[in-house]
Amino acid sequence: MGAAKKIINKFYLPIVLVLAIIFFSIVTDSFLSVHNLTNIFVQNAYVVIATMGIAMVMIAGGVDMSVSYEMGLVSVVAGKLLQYSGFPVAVIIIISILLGALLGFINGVITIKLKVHPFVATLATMTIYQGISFVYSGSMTFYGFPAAFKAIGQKYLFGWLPISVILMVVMFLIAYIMLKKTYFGRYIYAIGGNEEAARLAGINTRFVRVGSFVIASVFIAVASLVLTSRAGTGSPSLATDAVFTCISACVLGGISFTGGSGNVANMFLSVMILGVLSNGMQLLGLSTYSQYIMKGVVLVIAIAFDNYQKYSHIKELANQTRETEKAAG
Amino acid sequence: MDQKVILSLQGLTKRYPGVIANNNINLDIYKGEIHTLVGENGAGKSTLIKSLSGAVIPDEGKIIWEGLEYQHMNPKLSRELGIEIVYQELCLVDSLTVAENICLGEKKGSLVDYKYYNTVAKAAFHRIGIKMNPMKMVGDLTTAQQQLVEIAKAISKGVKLLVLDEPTAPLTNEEIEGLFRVMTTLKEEGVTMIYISHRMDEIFRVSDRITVLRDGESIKTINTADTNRSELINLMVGRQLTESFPERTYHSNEKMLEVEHAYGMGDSDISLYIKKGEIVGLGGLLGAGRTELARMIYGADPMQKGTVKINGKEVYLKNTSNGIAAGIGLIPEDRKRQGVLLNFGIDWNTTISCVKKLSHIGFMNFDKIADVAKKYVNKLNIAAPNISVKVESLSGGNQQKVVLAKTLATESNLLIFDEPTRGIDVGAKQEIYHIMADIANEGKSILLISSDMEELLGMSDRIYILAEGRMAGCLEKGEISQVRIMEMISNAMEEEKR
Repeated sequence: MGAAKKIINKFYLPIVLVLAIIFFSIVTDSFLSVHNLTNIFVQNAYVVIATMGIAMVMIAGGVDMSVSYEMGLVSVVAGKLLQYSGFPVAVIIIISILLGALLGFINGVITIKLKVHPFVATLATMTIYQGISFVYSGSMTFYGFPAAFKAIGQKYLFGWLPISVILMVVMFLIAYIMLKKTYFGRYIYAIGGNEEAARLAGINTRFVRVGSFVIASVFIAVASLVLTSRAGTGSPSLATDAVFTCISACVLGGISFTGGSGNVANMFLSVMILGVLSNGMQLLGLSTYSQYIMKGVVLVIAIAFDNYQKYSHIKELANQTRETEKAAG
Repeated sequence: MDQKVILSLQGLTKRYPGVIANNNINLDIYKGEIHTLVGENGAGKSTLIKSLSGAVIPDEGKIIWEGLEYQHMNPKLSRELGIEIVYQELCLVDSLTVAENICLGEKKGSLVDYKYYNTVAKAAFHRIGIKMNPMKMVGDLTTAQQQLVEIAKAISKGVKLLVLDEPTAPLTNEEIEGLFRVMTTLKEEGVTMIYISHRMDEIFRVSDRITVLRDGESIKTINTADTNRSELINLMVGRQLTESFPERTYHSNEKMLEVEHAYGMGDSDISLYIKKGEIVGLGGLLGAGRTELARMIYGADPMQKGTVKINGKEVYLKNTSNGIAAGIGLIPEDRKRQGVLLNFGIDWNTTISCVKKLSHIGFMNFDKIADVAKKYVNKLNIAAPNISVKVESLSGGNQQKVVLAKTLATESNLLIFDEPTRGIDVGAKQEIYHIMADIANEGKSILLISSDMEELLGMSDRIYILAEGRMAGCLEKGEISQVRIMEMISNAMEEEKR
């Protein structure tokens, strides 16, 4: 393989991101400004956090279709408590995160007990969580939050550093450390790579499977709090397209649906690519619907590229094996 | 019987890396006969019938079918010529009806013509003299009935040569009688049959002639009337030992493992023990329940009843981590699917079972991980440029060593080797034998499951024989021979039938 080709294969995400930034800097006047770039981070902080969670589940060979309404449910529960209960903000945040963990636990337990693919399990819980969040909120939205809570999504430290972006970085680092530095992270890769081999190697695969869902949903709950704070309202339909955005970002970032591989830095870049695209297209005055078309096209291209890489990998392996066989006579 | 040759194999040879599956096979099949192929696991029967179906392309030799010469078959051609194979794993679609299955792949008009399908199915059943409702779903049928559907399917395609690969293995006695009736009917109609079975009494009942395969070679073809059981067994096993097996030094009377009255996963009432420093073999045919027993001892599958003792203490194994904690290690039979994580490095694979111990408050110690990986790469002589190289790019032998490294890294005292040298070249085989001897010399114990008779005989201090999920007997070092093993298996299988 040529050196150029290797570089492109390895760094295609940063390359695409830089190309997108250059493109929008040229065709629009307002894209390349501190204000707008900060804005892209603020807009996407919650997406990055939720995507880290989904990445965890997908590396383990699963998927979480219920993410949008986990966010919705956490949002209305937190919102109602914030508006009416008078509990300290910290307590409400803890309750919200525990609720997230519970929702993930339910996803995981259904998956292992019914022995179904997580896609099916979380498709069912998606509908359930959606229903509960509307019933619980009475289809209302909650607002009038204390300043301490609004600060999470709206306040800037030193006048330039958004708290939501700090949270994003912290959550990113937690995900990174967990996947790369802890043995539990290694178990997540292992059960995604080959669940039966992992089980025979002494890994409690059911525990790891449920664990991946719980951790993912804690990330999703944090994402929900960030967005609820930024929007200033708690609503069941807080993030209806999160499921699309997060899974797209994971696929774009190179996680396959069979699991076992992927790294969080690529996930981050992918969210940023999608974020830059949607921000740039807004500045160009494209409608939301034309943006959908573009995002869909980007996803198709990403999948095609991923497939191409896999096939060339298989070819390479086949060649290697043939050569060793020849050498062995 | 008229002695017209319908099929003649001449010099058929098929090589795989490290093993010759079929070596210069010459075989004539007469028109209208039932010809039995016998041989141990790995004797080359499967490769032979796959050459007939076109699933395997022979490297050398030719296939002469009704006087016409072919270099090799392909699935379409062999079907057109009238060769049909009923494999052990039936190829039916559970969610379609019997009639649809029989007519699968046939095109008549552009719509599904159930009336036509049913007529075809009924005609086929009529020819083999059985009654079955063609509208039934195949998934609702018993295995025996499904087998008959396969045969009917072959009939409706105008079969001239029907190959039956161990058809009686999953059947009850009555069902076997039914199958034999169908075979007799087919024979009267002039259909030639190749029949594969391990069961001696059946072989003598149904076949006209018998060909013995051994180590990929056709040893002898005999008229059934001119031979007997013990001659067949001798022909099947009579081989020269060519491998050399390492010396062993450790002897002890202490028991490492005791299994008492174990039931589960198709096995019943199995008891055995292994002493420290001992290598104990587990012999038997494929499907005898050996792997199932191994997995239960390891904790990978639930044991319904029975006790497992390690070092005299009873252990309760609910999952594989219990098994590892009890000091048991398993080298599974399917290396790629159960043994290694293919797209992970040697270091990951070697330490995946013990990574928790190499961690501090959840964080992995990468230095320790690298040390462990390097230690075993050196100890087991794993050929790789570095420890982070992905396991998928290693050869089979080196992959197996990685699995071994993973198990050794957990410091287990009892290692279960399930087909440790399958698909591995001769050199790597010898290395694995030496590693096994080293392990035993350290006072650890080994349970060896192998379908390679030479390996089983050469490595084992004692051999337990399983047949159809039951203990058929145990042979001590002095009394082990291939003939004894095969006799025990076939005796046990006949007892089982009664």
